[in-house]
Amino acid sequence: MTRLHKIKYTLSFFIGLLSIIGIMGLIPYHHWQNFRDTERNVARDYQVIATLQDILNLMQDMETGQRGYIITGDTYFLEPYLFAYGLTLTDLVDVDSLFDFNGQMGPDRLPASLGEQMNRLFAYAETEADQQAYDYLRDQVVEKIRYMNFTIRMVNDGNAQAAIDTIRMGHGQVLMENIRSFVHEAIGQRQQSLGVLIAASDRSEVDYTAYVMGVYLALGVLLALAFLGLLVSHGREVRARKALTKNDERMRMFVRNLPAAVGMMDRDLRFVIASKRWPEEFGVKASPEGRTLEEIFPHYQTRTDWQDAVRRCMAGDVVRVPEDRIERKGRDDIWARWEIHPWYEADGALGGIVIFVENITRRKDIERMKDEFISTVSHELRTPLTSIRGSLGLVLGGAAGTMSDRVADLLKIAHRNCDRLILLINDILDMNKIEADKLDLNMAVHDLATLLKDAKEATYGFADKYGVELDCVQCREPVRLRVDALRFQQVMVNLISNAVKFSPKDEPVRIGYENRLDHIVIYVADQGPGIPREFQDRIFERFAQADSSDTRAQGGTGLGLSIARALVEKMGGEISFTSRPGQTIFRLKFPIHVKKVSIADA
Amino acid sequence: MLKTIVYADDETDIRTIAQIALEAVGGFEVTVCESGMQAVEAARKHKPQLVLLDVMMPGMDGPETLKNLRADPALADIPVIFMTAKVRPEEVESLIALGALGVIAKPFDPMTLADEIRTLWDKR
Repeated sequence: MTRLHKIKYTLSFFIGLLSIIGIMGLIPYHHWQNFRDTERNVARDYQVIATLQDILNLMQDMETGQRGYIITGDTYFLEPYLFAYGLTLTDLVDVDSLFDFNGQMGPDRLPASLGEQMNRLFAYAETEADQQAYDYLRDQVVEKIRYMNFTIRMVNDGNAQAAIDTIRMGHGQVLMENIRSFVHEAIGQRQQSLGVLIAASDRSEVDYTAYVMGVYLALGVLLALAFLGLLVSHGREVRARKALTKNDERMRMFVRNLPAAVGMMDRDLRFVIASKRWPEEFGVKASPEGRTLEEIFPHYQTRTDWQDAVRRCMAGDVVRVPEDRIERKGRDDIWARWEIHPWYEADGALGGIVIFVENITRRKDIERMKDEFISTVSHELRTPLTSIRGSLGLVLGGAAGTMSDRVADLLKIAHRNCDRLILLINDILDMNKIEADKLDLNMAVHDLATLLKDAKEATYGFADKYGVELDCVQCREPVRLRVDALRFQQVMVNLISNAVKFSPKDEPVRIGYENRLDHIVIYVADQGPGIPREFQDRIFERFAQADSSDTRAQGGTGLGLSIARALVEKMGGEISFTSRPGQTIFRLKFPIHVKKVSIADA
Repeated sequence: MLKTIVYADDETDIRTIAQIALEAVGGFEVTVCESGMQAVEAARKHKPQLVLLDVMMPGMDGPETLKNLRADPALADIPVIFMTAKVRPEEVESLIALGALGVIAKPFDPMTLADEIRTLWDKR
């Protein structure tokens, strides 16, 4: 899974979780609102019931007081009646003034407490029907009060019998009955509505409880799942860490058991880890782990080239030194091949240096011994060869008198093969030097004209022996090449003598050059049979000869072209060839020396 | 005209061949020596026009012999030519730098050895 996918996945998971939590929170809020509404409605219904009851009670109290007063004429009975108006018996000093039409208890006046209750009732009115019903109640109450006040005034006016008669007419009774039945009916309605509300509320509470339980359950399950997930992930992490540790341990084992002196250093050049080969390779007392490079190689203090290499490595370079002589006090010097590589932490910061060192002292010793051996053998071979060749030369040259043609022919074979042996020894010595990279070139600037002339002169005799003409272009241009003249000559002699050997007798070997402005191409062309196609790939290999039975090729050693190529390349040139039956051309390409010829070069 | 030569080489066979090449082919008068020491003595005795020395000889080698010749005022001016199998450019240069007239490569061609020596002698 890519990083982007991971982010998307996590994001959608969180958004989903948040929405679930939001929905779970919205439902209780909705329930709570319902509860609140129901509660308000219930409270209102109770208030309405209480108010209606109050109104009825007040009216009954007042009626009781009215009747008592009318029957007895005793003002004592008026106490509840007065109370409704907010008065007491002590206020009843002058009954007349109280009951006249302008007095506090005038026939059309409603007691303050009743008015208050009525207002409260209207405040609770919710519908037009409520309003109308309460209007009716108020009308009845006002009418009843008016009627009662009227009868009380009659008594007060000394007309008690008229009051009793009026009561007997039953109009007051009807009003009171109207009020009572209205109140009872209204209370009944309210109680019914209350019952519905409470039942709904109860149902809702049951639902809510179920919901809460459900949510608890869901949360519990979620929590359990989360815990389980945590357990699983923890287990995986533990396993992963174990695997990592195992991997780490394997890497450590790998490094420790590497069959070479390898180590990893931090930025302070202290070994973090190292292979076990250090003591064996460099005679250090123990594994370098935990020690610094300077402790392992005290030379580090004085070897500025090492310090430079470390600096370059820290800057990101890989430093390779194929051969390095390390001097040791009181012991033989050792030769080492080493490499240092920078290594980086996961965040890209430089961690330090990885070092690989190989002790090549033995190899160097063997190489030196081989070089010395070859040099000695060659020299030892040359001494007897000098005698043989000298003797044969003298005899063939007539210094020892005349001989028969057959003897001369046989001695010529011996002489020719002696020459061949000498050439072979020279070539082996050259090859040895080239391989040991000990070929010292005496590079200097030379005129192309001189170089070509010398080449022709050096091979003229040889060509003459084969009866082949050398057609050498004269160079009249001031072209200069920077080469080792002797080695250049060696290459030219090799190419020309090869051409001569393979050239038909009556066809010349052409030697010339092409000026390509920044470089020169020198060519040697013959019109021989050409190099066999299958041999062309191997022509520069050592001891590569197309056909060892070819009598004309017997003069060569099989090393010539291999040496020629090594020499040309070492002098900064290139060698190539094209060949087909009837023509073979070898080409040497050298850059033209353009620097003004200084005294040192001349 | 070059006529008298003192020649030293530790190899008997090469000595014989060189002697024939120089005397019979070249027509020189040659005093043949087996070592550098003998060459110095022969030079004192015969006062030759030229000393021809092999480079690799046991005891006193070619360059050492040259030094001894140069150390003797009577012999200091006699030209010396080396013969050696070691003909790398720097080896030749170092021999020339010692004050040699020239270096002849071994194995030499006995039929042309005398001419080579004359050529070097004329360049002197």
